[in-house]
Amino acid sequence: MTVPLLTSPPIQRDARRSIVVGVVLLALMAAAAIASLMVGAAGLSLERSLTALFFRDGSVDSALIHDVRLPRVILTILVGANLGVAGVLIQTLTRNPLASPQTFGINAGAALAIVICVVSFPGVALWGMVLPAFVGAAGVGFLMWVLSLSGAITPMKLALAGISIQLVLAALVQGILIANNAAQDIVFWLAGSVTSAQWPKVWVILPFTLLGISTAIAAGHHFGLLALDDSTGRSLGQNARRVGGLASILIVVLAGSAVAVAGPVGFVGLMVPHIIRRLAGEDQRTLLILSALGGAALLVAADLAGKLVGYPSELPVGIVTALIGAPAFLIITWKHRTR
Amino acid sequence: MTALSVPTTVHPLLRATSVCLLLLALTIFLALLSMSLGAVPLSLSQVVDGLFGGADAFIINQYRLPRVVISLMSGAALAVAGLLLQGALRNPLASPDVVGITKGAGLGAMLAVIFLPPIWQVWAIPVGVVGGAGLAAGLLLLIGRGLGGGVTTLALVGVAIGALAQAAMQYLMVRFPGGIDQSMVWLAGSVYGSNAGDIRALSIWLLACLPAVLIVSSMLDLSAFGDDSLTSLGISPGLLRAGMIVTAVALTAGAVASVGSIGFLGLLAPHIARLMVGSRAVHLLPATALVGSLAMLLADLLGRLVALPNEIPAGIVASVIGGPYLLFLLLWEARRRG
Repeated sequence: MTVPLLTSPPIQRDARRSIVVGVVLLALMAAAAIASLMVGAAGLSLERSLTALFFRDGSVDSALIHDVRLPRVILTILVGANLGVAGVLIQTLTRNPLASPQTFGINAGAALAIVICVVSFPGVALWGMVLPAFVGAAGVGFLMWVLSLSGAITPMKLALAGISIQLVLAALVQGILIANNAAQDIVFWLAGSVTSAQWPKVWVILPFTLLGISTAIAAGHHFGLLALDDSTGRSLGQNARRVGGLASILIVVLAGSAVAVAGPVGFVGLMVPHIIRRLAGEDQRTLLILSALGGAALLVAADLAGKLVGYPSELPVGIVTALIGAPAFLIITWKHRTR
Repeated sequence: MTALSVPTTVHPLLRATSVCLLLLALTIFLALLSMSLGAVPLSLSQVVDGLFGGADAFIINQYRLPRVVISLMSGAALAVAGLLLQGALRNPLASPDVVGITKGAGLGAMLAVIFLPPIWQVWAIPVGVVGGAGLAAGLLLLIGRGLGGGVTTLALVGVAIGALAQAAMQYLMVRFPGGIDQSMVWLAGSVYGSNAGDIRALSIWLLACLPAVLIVSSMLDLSAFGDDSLTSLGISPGLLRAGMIVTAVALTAGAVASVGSIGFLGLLAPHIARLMVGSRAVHLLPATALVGSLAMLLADLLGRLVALPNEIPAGIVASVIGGPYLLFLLLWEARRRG
């Protein structure tokens, strides 16, 4: 199936529009972030939270902002950006509108590897969860690649295959947790959550986010190559393969590190690229930058909604993104239906 | 629909009968084996003895038999529901869990348990399950009709409905942590703690469904020929399809109310049965029901053995075994077309 949305005509007038979209997304993200600093078990006024943020005076409010809420907001921004960019890359790489780290089972692969690691080595450090996450993500990625090679499997079928891999891996995770009586500890993480965010988690994901997203943006114009049809891609041969390899590594790193700190948060990587493409056109580099912003804005807003909706108890952010994302998934399926 | 025809050298009826007898023997053996395992291990002869009022009758009748009987009934119900859905939607990928009906039923049950007033509690789960399953099926058909897409699209729509119901269930669990203990069971799908009351409820429900099952499955063969031939025979294709779906939803609702959401069993069982006895409904229906019973029994048994002393819910085992089959099916279809 050719995906009309993914062919990329270079359109100049999109540039101004992209800037506007970028500014709006930044503003949304900032607003949600500030609101998120104010909301919690103890509500703070706007003035109070901003004062506590900028003047670290040793007060309780200041400690709350700096040690609990700020790391959470920053972590949420990083995870959202990772997932948004990973979503663009995987959709471009597979030319599949239903592709995302979640629907292709990449998140679940990372989660399974982490759970196996945590259960086998109970004292494993936070850093120690990143490598298994990469291995798990890469394993499922490889499996999906093998599946995609087999015969004339349509994008829809590939997505269904990815989803069934995801379901099986999730069931395996559940089984392992029950078998080891470890459910209590990890169940919140499994729903996709930033609740227990602390600075160490930020430091774990930050290098991968910075390196991964900047590499993706730097190589952005090459990724356009992947969106071309097969014959054109083949004539560019070697180069296309190398770009595809780079994209795969970036997907694994971005999605894997996100899962390691926040659990398998779904639907962000699926929705964001579609929305951004709609708003700002097809240029790969713009798409990558704006999807990073959009993913961050979406996840911060979702986390805020999760805090507000069940106040004073909290909803894991992964549940909020699933509630929004499942209908979005439906709409995307509808738009790209095959006969 | 993939018609996996069998070689016609063996008489189909003979073949179907012998397959069914074999399945029945296997099921009985596994049921006895299942009853022999537990905190107090029993030998097979002790089990048989207990069944007829021997020394271990209490353990057998109070704990182990109900669990096995519920497995058999719910497995058969889910399998037949899968068969009817595959026929109605003409979609080899359809089954109550793939198209989101199971998850919808679970959500309905949770909503009913949380929001119905206390005097309604006895009816909360059945009402919620039927409502939720019906709503999910209605949504699927509505969207499916609007989509007009192929088999994969419909399955994806079901997946989306299931994901939405799942997220809503998780939301309810966090939001109302008080009333969820019971509902937690649906998320994993388990036959743990089944009792005589469960058996009574499920068997009454399934018996009530039986006439509908027999009527619609007798037309399963006809429906495979397409809408035009149905119309020429004076049967309304729309009505038949609706009847199949309603019956499938009712069967699923019964199974989900007693054991929760069991993944992939409804997908797998009809395919296995078709491979063994061919696609004639007369042979397919009993074989599918037996394969479903057997699969559910096996999933429960494996779940109890694999992680001693803990138990893995049957639903998880079923997903781990059944999921890869869906992959295989997708690839096999792709290769056949390509």
